[in-house]
Amino acid sequence: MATQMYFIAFRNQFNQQTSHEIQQLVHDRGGFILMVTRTGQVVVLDDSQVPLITRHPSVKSMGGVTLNPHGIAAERLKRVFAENLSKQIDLNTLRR
Amino acid sequence: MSIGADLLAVPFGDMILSMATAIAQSQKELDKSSLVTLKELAGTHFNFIENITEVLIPKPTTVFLDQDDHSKGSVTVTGVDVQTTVGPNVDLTLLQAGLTPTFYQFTESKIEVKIALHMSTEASFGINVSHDFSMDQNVGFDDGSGFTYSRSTTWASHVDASYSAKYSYSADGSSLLSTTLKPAPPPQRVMPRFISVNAFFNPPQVNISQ
Repeated sequence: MATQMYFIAFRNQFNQQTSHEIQQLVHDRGGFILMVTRTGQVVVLDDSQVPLITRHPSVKSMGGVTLNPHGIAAERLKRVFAENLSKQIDLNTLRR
Repeated sequence: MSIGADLLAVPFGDMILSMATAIAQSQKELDKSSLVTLKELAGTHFNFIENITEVLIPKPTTVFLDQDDHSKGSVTVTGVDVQTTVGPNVDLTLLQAGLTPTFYQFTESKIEVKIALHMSTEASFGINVSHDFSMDQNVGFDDGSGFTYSRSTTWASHVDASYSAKYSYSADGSSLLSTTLKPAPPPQRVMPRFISVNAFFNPPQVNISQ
């Protein structure tokens, strides 16, 4: 099913270092961070990489999520995702 | 063994049962995983600022042509004053905001059994016939009294027959089990219904979403 949107839930209380570690792990596996919260992260990742992320000791669970366009703040979330995504995409790489 | 018997030997019933059981177990695990995600989304809060109001107020400004000598005249420049009012923070969960867990469903399953049968028969038959014929004749006189004559004939016939047959039979089989997994809308009974009442308006605006 290729690339999907996932929510990664942390095992323990929020820790900046752990959060960075998981973000880095997702980035190294070709994924993108869409949103970071105190309890987890919304990321975009290829489904073949999911087992590698779930093996991290600080990851409690990881499951696919979908943005419901009728949600109260769906538009705002979409904007947040787009803004964060734009910071991570290297246009020069895409042009190649 | 005939082709029909080979096909009958394939345990279709067991294969279908095993596959159906595996699919049912996988579906259960996938649903469990989606429900765990649902709980996590319901427990993840973020501050949502619903409204940021910007009011543009005209603010003309007078600019003197010469700052040191105001008697040289002035020009009125159109200006604007922006008054920004940030609305109250609303504590929302990601689930309320519109992020829902993805549910998956096995939509199509297929069992394919292929059997390749190879059968060959090779037979050879040979006959080898040979004949031998010999004849001896003796003519002579014995002690002066008479004439003697003798003849012997030999006839021999050989017949060799050979028959050989080779029969070979082989059957190769392969089976393919495939299934398709697709995202499906969340079950209605699992997903809560969100009712938001916006009391900023009169009458209050009610928004129902799922």
